[in-house]
Amino acid sequence: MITVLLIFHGLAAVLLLGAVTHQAIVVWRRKAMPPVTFLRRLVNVQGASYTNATIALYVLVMILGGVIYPSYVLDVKGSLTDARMLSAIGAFEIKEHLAVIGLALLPGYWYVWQRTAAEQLLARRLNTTLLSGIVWWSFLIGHILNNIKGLL
Amino acid sequence: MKKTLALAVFTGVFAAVYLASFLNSWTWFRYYPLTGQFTMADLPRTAGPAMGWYAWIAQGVLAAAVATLLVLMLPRRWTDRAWAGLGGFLALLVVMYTFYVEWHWFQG
Repeated sequence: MITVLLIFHGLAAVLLLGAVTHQAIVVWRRKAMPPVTFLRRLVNVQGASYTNATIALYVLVMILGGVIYPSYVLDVKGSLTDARMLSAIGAFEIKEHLAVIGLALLPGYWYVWQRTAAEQLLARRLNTTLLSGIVWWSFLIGHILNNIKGLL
Repeated sequence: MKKTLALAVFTGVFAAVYLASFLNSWTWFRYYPLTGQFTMADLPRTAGPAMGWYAWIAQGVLAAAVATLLVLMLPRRWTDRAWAGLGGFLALLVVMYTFYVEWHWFQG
C-alpha cells in the first residue's frame, strides 16, 4: 500500500513540478512573443491558468507525503543513520520544512495571481519563484532519497 | 489591502511558528508510527520514534489563523500600505533561516 501511495505521490509531484515551473517561467516573461518555436510556446501561455491546478496538486502532494512520511521515519531514516549519510538526512529535513513553508505561502500565492495590477508583478514573481524552488528541492530530494533507499 | 496584509501575516506566522515549534520541540502531541498512536503523552522508548511534524503544522495553522483574524479586525488605515509580496518575502526569510539551522548536517 505504501508503495502505491509513494508512486501516486511521485506522479502528482511530477504534475505539480510541470505546472509551477511553467508558471515560474511565464511570470518572468517581459513581453508577449509569437509562438513560433518550442521555447516561445513554452513562455507564451496564460500563467494565471496554472494557479488553481498548482494549489490543488500541492495540497494533494502534501497529503500523500504526510501519509507516507511515517514509513520514511521507520524504514529509511534508520538506514541512512546506520550508513552515516547525514547530508541525505539533512536534505530531507530541509524538504519537510520547505514543504510546510510552501503550504503557508499558498493563500498569498493564489491572491497575487487573482490581481492584474502592475504593482503585483514583483509579488507574483517572488511568490511563484519561491514556490517553484520549494517544489524543485522537494522533488529532487525525494527522488534522490528514494534512489538511495533502493541501494541500501 | 486589509486582505493583502492578512494573507501575508498568515504566511509569516504559519511558517515562523512551525519552525519555532521544530527548533524548540514544542509539540502538543506526537505521532508514534511504530504503534500508530497520536498521543499527548511521552511514550517509553519501546514505542519507537516519535514524530512532531503533524503537531508543528497544526500549531502553525492555529497561530496563523488567530493572527489573521486579529489583522482583519484592525482599522483599515493601519493596513492600507501592505505589499502583496510581503508574505513571499517573509516566507523567503524563513526558508533562508531553515537552511542556516539545518546546515550542520552537511558539515560532517
